[in-house]
Amino acid sequence: MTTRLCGALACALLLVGAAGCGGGGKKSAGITPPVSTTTGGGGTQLKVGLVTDVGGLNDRSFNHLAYLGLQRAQSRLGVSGRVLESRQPSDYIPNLSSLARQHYDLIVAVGALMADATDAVATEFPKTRFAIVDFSQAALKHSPKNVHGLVFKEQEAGYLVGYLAGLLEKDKAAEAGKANTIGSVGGQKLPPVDHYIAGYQAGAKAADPGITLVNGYSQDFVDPAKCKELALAQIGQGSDIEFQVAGGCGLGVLDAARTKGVWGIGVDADQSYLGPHVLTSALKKVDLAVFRTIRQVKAGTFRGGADTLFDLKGDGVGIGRISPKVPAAYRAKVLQVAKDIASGKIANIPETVG
Amino acid sequence: MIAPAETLVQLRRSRWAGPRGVAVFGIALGIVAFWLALPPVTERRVVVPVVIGAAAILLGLWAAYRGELRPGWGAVAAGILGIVGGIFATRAAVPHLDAVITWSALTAATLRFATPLTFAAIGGMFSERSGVVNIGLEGMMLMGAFFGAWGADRTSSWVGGLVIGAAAGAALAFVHAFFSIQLRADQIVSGTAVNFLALGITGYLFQDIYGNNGTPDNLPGVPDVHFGFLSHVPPQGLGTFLDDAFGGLNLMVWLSLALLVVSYVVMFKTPIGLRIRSVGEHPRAADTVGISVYGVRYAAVTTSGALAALGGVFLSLGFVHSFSENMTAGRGFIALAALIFGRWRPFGAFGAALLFGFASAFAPRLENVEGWANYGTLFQALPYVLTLIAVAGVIGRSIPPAAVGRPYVKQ
Repeated sequence: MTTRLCGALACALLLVGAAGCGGGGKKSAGITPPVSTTTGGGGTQLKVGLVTDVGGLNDRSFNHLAYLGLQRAQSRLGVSGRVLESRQPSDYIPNLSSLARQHYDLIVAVGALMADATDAVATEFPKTRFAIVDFSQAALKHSPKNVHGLVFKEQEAGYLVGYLAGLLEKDKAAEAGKANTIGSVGGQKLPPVDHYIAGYQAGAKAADPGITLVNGYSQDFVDPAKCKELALAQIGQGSDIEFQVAGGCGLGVLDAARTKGVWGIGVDADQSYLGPHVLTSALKKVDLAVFRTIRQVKAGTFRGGADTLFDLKGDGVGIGRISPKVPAAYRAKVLQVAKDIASGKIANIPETVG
Repeated sequence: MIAPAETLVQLRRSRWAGPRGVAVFGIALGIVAFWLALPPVTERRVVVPVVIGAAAILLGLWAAYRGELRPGWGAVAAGILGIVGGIFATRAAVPHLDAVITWSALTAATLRFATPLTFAAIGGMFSERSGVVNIGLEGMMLMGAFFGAWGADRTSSWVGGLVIGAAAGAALAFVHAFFSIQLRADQIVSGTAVNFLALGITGYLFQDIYGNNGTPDNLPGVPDVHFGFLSHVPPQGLGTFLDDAFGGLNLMVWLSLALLVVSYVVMFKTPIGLRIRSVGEHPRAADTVGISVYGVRYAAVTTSGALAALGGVFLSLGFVHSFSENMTAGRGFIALAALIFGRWRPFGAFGAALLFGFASAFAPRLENVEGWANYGTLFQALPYVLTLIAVAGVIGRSIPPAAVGRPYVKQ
């Protein structure tokens, strides 16, 4: 019996962990969305590879956006693209290095979760160009000179949606005498996640100084059930607006908002299509960042060993479609705040959750 | 195997009297030590949990000295945890405690976490009691999750989703049954293969059918059941608690509880159950009295797939109202563990599922304690730590059906 249990346990571990690598690798090749293939003769066509993090291509969030950027580059710049999806964290290094070994001209690692893997592979292939979304090149352990970091001022987008949330909450508190509480659910305490949340909280406080803020982390970017539980707990504490910063897991937050009849705020992509319960979305234009980086490689202006910062001023972050139920006056106020941030009138938006 | 009723009663008495009973009482005391320091009692004096916890430790040591090693040490562990937890709780600020401990919300969340595990564990029970190891529960749940969503989308009704999801799980289980019964393949290998197959099938079809926008947002979900009268149960506090905890649960949560009772009756009180168990304990004997070993095993494994798939349907249609790739996230394996900890019995497995569920619901709330926000990843281990303690301390050795994992060769 002991052997049987051990066998079962080993298999379980294998499936959850390491073997996911084999399965993931195979699968990524199998279900890679149709992309143009390279011309055999090693011609002038640029080869761009994209490696997603565990969120996968249809996280309806930043992996998806990165893919949109690649698609745009394929149709407008005529590059050839290839996507490898990672099932497990242990897929990152194999996926990145398999593209590097195939001499791709640019390899894009999507997400801060891949920082260590990108650092390791870029150090091993110093002649290959890499770009990493959501992570600063200088912050990588070896700061390899062939990596370009694509970083965003998420706090500016967070500030805008938080400001809108604060405006709505202030009203509610005034009319019903209820406690004004809003919540946020992050995937993990990572810098890009906390940028959003810190901005959200600062924006809400600016619009409604008396607001109560609750925040939690699901420790997961994939399992929507976990995020939904967290959001339900926060709504139970009186939260009327729920901001999700957890990729695919965060879809559970938006579903909790729908079920409980409160507002949900989307992240990264414009998630207003998920239903009328979505108040707005905090946008991070990963598609733009990926497209521009590919264009730089094509034009020969790609610079490793540096970062590009995408902010509200450069249209790198922003606020998505605002629900038509929001009064026009509030819309105007939010747009004014956006202008103030772009012009530098509102500065020093916090980056860390206090 | 089959004991006369009197002997059973005696057995049961002797199991709980003496040092063993004392040890179990000690474990309960350890839990009470912690509980007293939490809302609604919120005992603020440190000495209370310490004294009660110490009593639990002493009882445990006495029981261990008298030979009841596992429950004895279990009580010691419970006492230590009670003291540690109690000290932390008495030092924490009351508003923080209230944010962490809302018993009604915790109860509802526990049941929601436990439901998919219960479905899958009971499914597993049917398969394993008939002698076929079912490590493919994870894949069968995943099939249920995807095809449940797809079926609900196609038929525009959650009933359609439920039926199609269960059928998909049964179909996958049939593949497992064919390999492990007909071809006498290694059941662990076959189950693992089935898991990969499910991951591939659902992942591919999901991309192919729904693309980047995912399942539609108007997916007809399994409804929640509202019991309005619960809030009127006197006294007021109890009524509110009942309403918050049980007043808005999903229909499938109640279905899982009903299934629990039904599966217990079927497995232990009917000829069908006797056949399943006999095939799992001694297939040769069952064969000689005319029971079709293959037939029973096929039926049991297929049923297990359908039940496990219902757990997946709960996730996609009952809870988050969408499908995402690999959304079962290892719950099938946890269900298998719950089945083993529950000694291959429905209520035992349910108890284990509740323990997992409670720990999963409790762990993320701990982050609300002041100064603990950074330990979120650590708290994620809580379900597994609790399980280890429960298994090592209380459950002890769990004995599987005698013929489980062994293919049967007809003579």
